[in-house]
Amino acid sequence: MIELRKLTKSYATRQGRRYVFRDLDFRFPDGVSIGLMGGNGAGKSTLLRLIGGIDMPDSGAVLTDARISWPVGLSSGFQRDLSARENVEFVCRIHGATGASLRETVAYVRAFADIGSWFDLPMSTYSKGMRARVAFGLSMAFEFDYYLIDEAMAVGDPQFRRKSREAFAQRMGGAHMILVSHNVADIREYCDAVVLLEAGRATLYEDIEAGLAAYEGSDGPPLRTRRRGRLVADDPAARREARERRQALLRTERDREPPAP
Amino acid sequence: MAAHPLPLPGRAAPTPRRSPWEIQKAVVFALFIRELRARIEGRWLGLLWTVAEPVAHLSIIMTLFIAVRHVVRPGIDAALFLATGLVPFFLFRNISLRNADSVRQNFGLFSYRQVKPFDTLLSRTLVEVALSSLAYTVVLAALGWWGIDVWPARPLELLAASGVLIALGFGLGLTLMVACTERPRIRTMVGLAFVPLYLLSGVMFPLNGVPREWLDWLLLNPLVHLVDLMRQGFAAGYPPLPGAGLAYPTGWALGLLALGLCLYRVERRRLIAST
Repeated sequence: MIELRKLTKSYATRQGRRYVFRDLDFRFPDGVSIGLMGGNGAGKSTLLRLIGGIDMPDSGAVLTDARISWPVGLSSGFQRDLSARENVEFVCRIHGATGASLRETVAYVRAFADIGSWFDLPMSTYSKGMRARVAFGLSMAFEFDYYLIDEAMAVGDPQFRRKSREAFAQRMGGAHMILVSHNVADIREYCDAVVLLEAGRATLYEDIEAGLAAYEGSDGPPLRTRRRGRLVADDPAARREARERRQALLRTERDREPPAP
Repeated sequence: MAAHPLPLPGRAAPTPRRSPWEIQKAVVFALFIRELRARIEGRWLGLLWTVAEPVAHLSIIMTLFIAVRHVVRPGIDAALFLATGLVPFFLFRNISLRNADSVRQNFGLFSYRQVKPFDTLLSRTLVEVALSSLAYTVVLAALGWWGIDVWPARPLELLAASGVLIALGFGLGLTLMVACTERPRIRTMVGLAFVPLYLLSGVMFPLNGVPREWLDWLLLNPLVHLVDLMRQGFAAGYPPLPGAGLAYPTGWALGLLALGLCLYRVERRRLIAST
């Protein structure tokens, strides 16, 4: 259960206070993965942070009895002077993993990130990609009811992306996600319902296509699927065709990958 | 690429439903380790420096003072007099100033919902107390080896004064931390205020020669009381400063703690909110 009760969040700007939400009441449907959509500045990321408990509303509350992750792939919590191992250990400890459980989690992240002995060097020496690998592996190492994802699905090289997808699929067996994305393909692949944010209001679409069509009608950026001059979401045959094209693309990408060591 | 996806860690955290106390404990412990590691930078040199910094400071001042045969109060050795003034003062300064900076410096950590500003304060205070105790032990051991009697004459009173000192530093740090979120310049002003405070706290020179009417003003500073009480705790023959007592600094500590906690309670959401 995730419920927003009289949620108000505003930012002070030079032109006075700007409200993102004002007394927003909303209940997310249980047991489904949700695509959070809306135009730029509609408050998707803000809402995600509020749900994750890492940002605070001006008033009102987010009520939940579920275990909610931090935003997947987030690396701002890393201390750059410490190694990936030390940072991972820190996150384990605050989540109550000690002893054998801690060692197991560290071993998993180390194997997942696959950055070799860099794992024990300070994170300030890492490349952006290496940091992202550690961050994603860390997110996958913990079990939550909801994973919060802010457009960070595709990091790293193709091989790592596939590994991420596999880990994600495993996790999604017993969990759900709240995904912020402008990418229609991602929403279709992962989500069961769409919540559209517009002018400080949230609207639930249990039918994805209806939600995507509403999103298309909103002030958001144009859908990627529109580039051929027709709206894919309107037409089941075109939708099927688009899905097949995507899968074919995925297959060729996979064939191009270097062989396993 | 392995044919099978990497097996997920088994019964990994978060364990189901921890009590608030368990979460608090886990977070403060995790922060303590992290803070300590960041401070000593994973090297022996880091640890050495942490201890060596107050020792170096101490030896320079001691050399200066003893070399010019500065007048020191009777009943306590000059070196012990300085050590028992400097180490507690540095502890107080570090606790309050480092805690004032803790939210700004740890902002990334609040991405983990378990971590609250108060936890970073608690863990920083613990780190400071641990490092300061280590430095104190090293300094006192060195003085003891030198032939000075460093064994505390009244250990319980010493502990009580230390406790009040830590609470005072924590209360000031907490208040400053909340105040500096809205008004960052306060931090600079307080940083500057520590220089005159250092001179007025009786850390380096004895206050017994000060005329009575001036002493009354100096005694408004709670650190004067605490530093003097600590010296009484160490040396049996140390003549106490008239008017120094535990009640006055305890009042300060409780007042600052109450003020800091109230401000924190009021501002707790805004502290970690994006604005």
